[in-house]
Amino acid sequence: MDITRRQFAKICAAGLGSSSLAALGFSPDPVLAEVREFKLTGATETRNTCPYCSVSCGLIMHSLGDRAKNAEESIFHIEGDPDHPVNRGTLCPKGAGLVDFIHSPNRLRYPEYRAPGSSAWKRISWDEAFTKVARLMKDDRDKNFVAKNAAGATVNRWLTTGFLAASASSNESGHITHKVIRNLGILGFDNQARV
Amino acid sequence: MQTVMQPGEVESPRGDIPFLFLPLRDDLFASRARRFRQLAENHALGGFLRLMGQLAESQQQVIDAFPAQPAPSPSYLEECARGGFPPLGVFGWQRDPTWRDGLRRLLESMVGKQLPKPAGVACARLERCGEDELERFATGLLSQDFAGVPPEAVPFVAGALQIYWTAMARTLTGRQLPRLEPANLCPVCGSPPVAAVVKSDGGQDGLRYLCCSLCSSQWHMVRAICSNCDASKGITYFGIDGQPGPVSAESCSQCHSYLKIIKLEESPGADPQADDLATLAIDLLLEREGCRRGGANLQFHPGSL
Repeated sequence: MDITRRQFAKICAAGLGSSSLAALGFSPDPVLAEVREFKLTGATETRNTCPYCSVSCGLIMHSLGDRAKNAEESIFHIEGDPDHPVNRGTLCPKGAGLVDFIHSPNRLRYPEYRAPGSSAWKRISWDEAFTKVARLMKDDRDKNFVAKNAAGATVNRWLTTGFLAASASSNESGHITHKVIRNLGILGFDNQARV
Repeated sequence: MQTVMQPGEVESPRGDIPFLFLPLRDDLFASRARRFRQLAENHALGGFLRLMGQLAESQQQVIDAFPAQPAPSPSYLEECARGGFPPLGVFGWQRDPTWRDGLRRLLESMVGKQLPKPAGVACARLERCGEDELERFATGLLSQDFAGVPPEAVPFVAGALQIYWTAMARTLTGRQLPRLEPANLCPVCGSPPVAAVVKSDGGQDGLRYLCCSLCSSQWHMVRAICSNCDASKGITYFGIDGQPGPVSAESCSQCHSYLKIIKLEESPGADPQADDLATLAIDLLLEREGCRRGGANLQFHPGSL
């Protein structure tokens, strides 16, 4: 999209010989020589929302590399978004440490399972994880689903399972969470991480 | 300034983001001169930057003694606010001939200094220019049309226009001015920015302000969006490898323009006008990448092709 309203004079090597610099008696050669040696480096700033709690502070994440050129990206700094109406640039100690959270060697990178009574975590596949969760949910729901209350009114409740979703979810994922979880009859669910 | 909080005290909310800072600092040009001198050390264009520093010093002397200008009338200001025009617009506001007195005093002050010969000649030649010619130069510069203005005259004529417009902007103290459309033009005079700064003090820590190339007003614009086309995707900050400094070029992959952005946290004394001219290397490198400059430095004729 190009909605530039005005075209400004461009500064380029060919023009410098007749620029104010040269006209005032200074040679542009030293800077032209420098430029032949120099190399550009790119960094990006990306807006995001802190994943920790329901306050949902705005963040700006700084990463090295020029995304347009598919260079490898690496986040090296995270600051509070000074323009964000919620936090106006501030972060709590947890949020201020986010960059270490991103690069932590202890981050959970894949599903793990600890069997009842066992003390060891075992890496499992996503398929196994989904199957296990679905199986446990189905068994619990079949056993404890409340279709009608004592007065005989239809209530369709499933009270023995709860659900926690993330804090940085968008409205859309909040909507989907609501639809899926309420459809199952779960009443105890929350869309943030204040716990 | 940092204040020490007492036990039981609760920090007050930061409140609204101030939209506009008028150029009220008394030492505006003096601090620019300091910055030019500082940047000139070990710089490939040290001589040029020192000359620009001398010019900024003279601008300070002239504005200190500049006759008080009458403020635009309240009814005129209201009319501008209603119509969405900048009150001191470079085309809408009839500039007072006082600006030429400012230029004359600026040149007198420069001639008294030890200048490189071509600069002395340029000043002497400008002193002999007639009113019509000077007005023609001014109109050219203010409309970003450098073609009819001699490159050696540009820093001085622009310098005098900056003095007049800065003095005029100061008469608007206490006025609320609306954001212009397009939002990358100065709400006071409608000129393009020379660069942007990210503030590091007061309640504005981390906020980005665009700095007017003419009247030195600063107006707020949300960080990490293109100041030219409002795009928020594909913004890259270019700097020079191995040359740390507060200046990078915020470039947009949508409209292929860029504007320099200066992090004051890294260099509290940085000045948009001075730091822009001290980083011509960034312009040359980005031009090679096919990016175009989104702002203007009124004091620099980029040469003709």
